[in-house]
Amino acid sequence: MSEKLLVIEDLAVYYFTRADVIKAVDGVSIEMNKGEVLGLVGESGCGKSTLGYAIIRLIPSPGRIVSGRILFHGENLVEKSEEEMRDLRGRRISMIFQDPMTSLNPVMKIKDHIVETLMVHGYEDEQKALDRARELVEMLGIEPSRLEDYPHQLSGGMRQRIAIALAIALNPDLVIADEPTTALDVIVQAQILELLKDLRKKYNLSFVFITHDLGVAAELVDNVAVMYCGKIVEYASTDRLFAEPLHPYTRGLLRSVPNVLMKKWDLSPIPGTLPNPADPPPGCRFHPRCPHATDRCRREEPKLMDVGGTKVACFLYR
Amino acid sequence: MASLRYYIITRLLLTIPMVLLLLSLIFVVLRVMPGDPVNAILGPKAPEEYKQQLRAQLGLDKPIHEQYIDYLVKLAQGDLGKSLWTRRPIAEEIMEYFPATLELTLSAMVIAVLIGVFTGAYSAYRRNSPADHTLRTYAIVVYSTPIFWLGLMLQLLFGVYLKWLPICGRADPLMEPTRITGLYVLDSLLTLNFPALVSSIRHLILPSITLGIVLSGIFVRMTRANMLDVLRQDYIAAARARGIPERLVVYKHALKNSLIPIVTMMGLQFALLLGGAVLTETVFSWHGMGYYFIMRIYYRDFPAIQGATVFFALLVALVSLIVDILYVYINPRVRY
Repeated sequence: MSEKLLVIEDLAVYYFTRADVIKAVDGVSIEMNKGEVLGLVGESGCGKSTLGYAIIRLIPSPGRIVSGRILFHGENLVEKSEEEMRDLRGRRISMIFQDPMTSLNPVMKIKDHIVETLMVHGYEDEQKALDRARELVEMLGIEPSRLEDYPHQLSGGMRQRIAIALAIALNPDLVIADEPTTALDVIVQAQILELLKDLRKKYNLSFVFITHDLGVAAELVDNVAVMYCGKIVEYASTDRLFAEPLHPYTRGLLRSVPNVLMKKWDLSPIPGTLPNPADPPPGCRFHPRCPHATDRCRREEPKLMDVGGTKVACFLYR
Repeated sequence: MASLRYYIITRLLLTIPMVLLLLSLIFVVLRVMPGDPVNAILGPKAPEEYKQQLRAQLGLDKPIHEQYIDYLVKLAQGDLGKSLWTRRPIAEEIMEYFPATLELTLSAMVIAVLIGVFTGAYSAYRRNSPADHTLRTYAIVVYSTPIFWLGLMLQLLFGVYLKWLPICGRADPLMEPTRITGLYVLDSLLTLNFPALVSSIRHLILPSITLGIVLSGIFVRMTRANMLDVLRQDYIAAARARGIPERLVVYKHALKNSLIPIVTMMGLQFALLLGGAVLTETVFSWHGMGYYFIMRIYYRDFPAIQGATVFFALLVALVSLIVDILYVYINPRVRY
């Protein structure tokens, strides 16, 4: 077994606002191998995007990494200088954003986006960069003549392809995809997912795939980490998670999503709302919404424990 | 491009009612305002028969609606009429005074934009730093400074105490360059007249700084606000996530997007600039359109005031049209 691609140890990211300290990510640990696709799943506001931004060290102000380590090929990214991080970004770790309508600069041509990225990371010859740009977009199914266009002249699906081209232009080791299909319509969503699957096979790409859509996650992802209020509550292989969800939250999530295999239309939403991350409930953070909550859940915080190959943070399995 | 031509024609046609409205207003206001050109020319003690004779000669004895129609008919033929005071054609006089204003406003605009855009961008980039607070204070202070007061203070400091710069006029006597365009700096360059060049630049510095500084305040604030907005956009985060150096992210990706509304602002501020130029020209005895306006209001020189108003209105309309056309080149999303 070679060294891990990405190891996150006990990471905490807080937002320091004037009134509160919002614990967006609070003690998260993750491991990823080369070639793996890891899904980060959870509701809006659970901290999954913050975790993604933390890996590439672009947490928006007033957020800060408070503690923990992010080991990328064994090197701790938390300790790297801004310049070292900048050099890694785009070249070894890259990112795909949620909304392709807003993630490309409206006053720059498509080719300038790609060429600029290549030139910043070591291409010295503009012609070579342009050749590479042509090759890239063609590979992603876009006419090279489109390089002369501005972002607004492309459709949403095409723009997301361009965003993917930008993310893989320099053969990075890790791509963080922050809900890359959420803003697209269903047909384009399926095309983009297919494309990501293909690219993954061809280039043995590793992804951190952030999504709130379990169905999308099931298509592409090897392992899933389910996040709730800044913590991982369940962490398992995709097969195991869908076959046998253990945490009451995961079960609730699966029950609240329609599924073609359902015999009847039997959706049951999780009661209650997400707790305030500035002031999470004591004990297990899910206990106010949990049908199985006991006194212990209200007092004590469960740790992630291995239960038959699934890691789960719940006292039901002690 | 055909649609651009259509757009330009529509815009030009739309300026006609605007100019007419403004002109009618000024036409009536001038005639109900106390004071009389005949009195201004002949003096209050002139005999009544002379006054009547002159009034008839100038067409001022006709009813106001007839004067108005006469004026419009001439205007439609491109004739702005003759000055009551100098008896010279107004168009000729405007062409003589306008280059001075153009020279002043252009250099003031350059100063305002340079100060405004760069400090505004820097201010946004270093948000909430001491530099940001200082620049924001600067912006609000200069924007609320009365322009004539600033002009007087600069004259006092650099002209009277330090004796570095001249405080009035456009060039030293007998140093004016041969007139080609009427822009002294350009004319001295064209005729390779270096003493005139130095003299006209030295005269230009204080007035254009006065006007430029006051105008820069609003540009600092606008640029800062736009930049802050743009820096929050996804494509900025996306550029950072591709490892684009921060300097490029701010001054290329963000600034280019923030410039779009600033160019509009330059167009809109043009009217303010002309107003500011009137005050600046008065303080610095700068013989431009502002000076012309003020002088002719003293003399109740109706056709001159009307002509200058029409000219200013057309100028503002033209500038805003040019700005709109420029828009196509800086904002690829705009098509006409």
